[in-house]
Amino acid sequence: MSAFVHLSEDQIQGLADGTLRGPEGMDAREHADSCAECGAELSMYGALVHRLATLEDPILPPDFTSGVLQAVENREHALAQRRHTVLAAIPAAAVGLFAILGWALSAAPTAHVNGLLEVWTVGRHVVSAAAPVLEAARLPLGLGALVFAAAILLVLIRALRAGADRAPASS
Amino acid sequence: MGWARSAAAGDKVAFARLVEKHKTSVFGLCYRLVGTTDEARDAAQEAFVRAYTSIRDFDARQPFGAWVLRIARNHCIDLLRRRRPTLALVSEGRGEDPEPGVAPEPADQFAVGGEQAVQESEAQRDLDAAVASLPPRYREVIALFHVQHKSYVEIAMALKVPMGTVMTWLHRARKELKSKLAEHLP
Repeated sequence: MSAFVHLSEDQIQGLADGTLRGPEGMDAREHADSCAECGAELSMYGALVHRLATLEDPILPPDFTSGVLQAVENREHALAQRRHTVLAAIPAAAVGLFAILGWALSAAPTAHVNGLLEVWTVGRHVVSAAAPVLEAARLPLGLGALVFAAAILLVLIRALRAGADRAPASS
Repeated sequence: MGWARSAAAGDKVAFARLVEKHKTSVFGLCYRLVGTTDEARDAAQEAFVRAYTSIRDFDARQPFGAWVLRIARNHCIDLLRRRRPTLALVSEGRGEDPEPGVAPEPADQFAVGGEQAVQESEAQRDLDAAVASLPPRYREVIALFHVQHKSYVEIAMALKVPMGTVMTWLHRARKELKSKLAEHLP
């Protein structure tokens, strides 16, 4: 390697942390030894790497593992409770729905049927009256629906991507 | 990994072994990311709990250590996002500037080894502060490479990024540190 082509910063860092090896590493080392500028840069990075090696993390408390196991127990218990709540809610909701329907239909069946027929008739009149308007507005409505669907799809895709990126944390 | 398979089958002893084996690196990464001992311990604990509750999704062909580090990292990033920006980079009792006009207390350092000890202590404090002031992804790679002594490949697996990205982050992080710590370097 020519003494006039200086080493790149990546090469100097590679030399300093020992990851630049082999022929390329030997060439780079040779250049650094003969080039004052690169030698100074290497010496700075070498000192930095040495300092970084002195970084220390605080010591974990000895009961960390037992704390984790206790937290696991608590989480399992909470999850089991949530499952039981959901499982209990399903039959309760079914019973409630059944009771409401039963009450509504048994109170005055014909009145309810008549009411439904009236709603159906009113609905038919509304639709027939609005038909020409809807016919005229078909194209704008279609375009609006398309834009709305595109916006919803975009939001869903973003949400799915964000979910996929954070999968391990949220799983 | 036999322990992971056993843990997935509900063996808590096997899971405890996994925790014992990886707790230091997980805690270390959390510490460099969140900056305080208590929060780091809580974050590491939460990471292991999440690992246990989703261990059935763990691909046993991958190293468990990288997987749990990734969970810890994602959890810490979530914590940092929830924090107010002013609190994000403050570390616990490290790198704090003394009050203006008030000299730092040198008593203990003089007792231990004189002026050199004070300088060493200041340099260490500045180093901690400089690392704590880096963006989270740079702190991660510094912690994993220089403190945990993980290889580029292991870091890439843990952070789920290409190895080239790890190298780039590491180089940029050290470049930033070099400029921040210029007065302590030759």
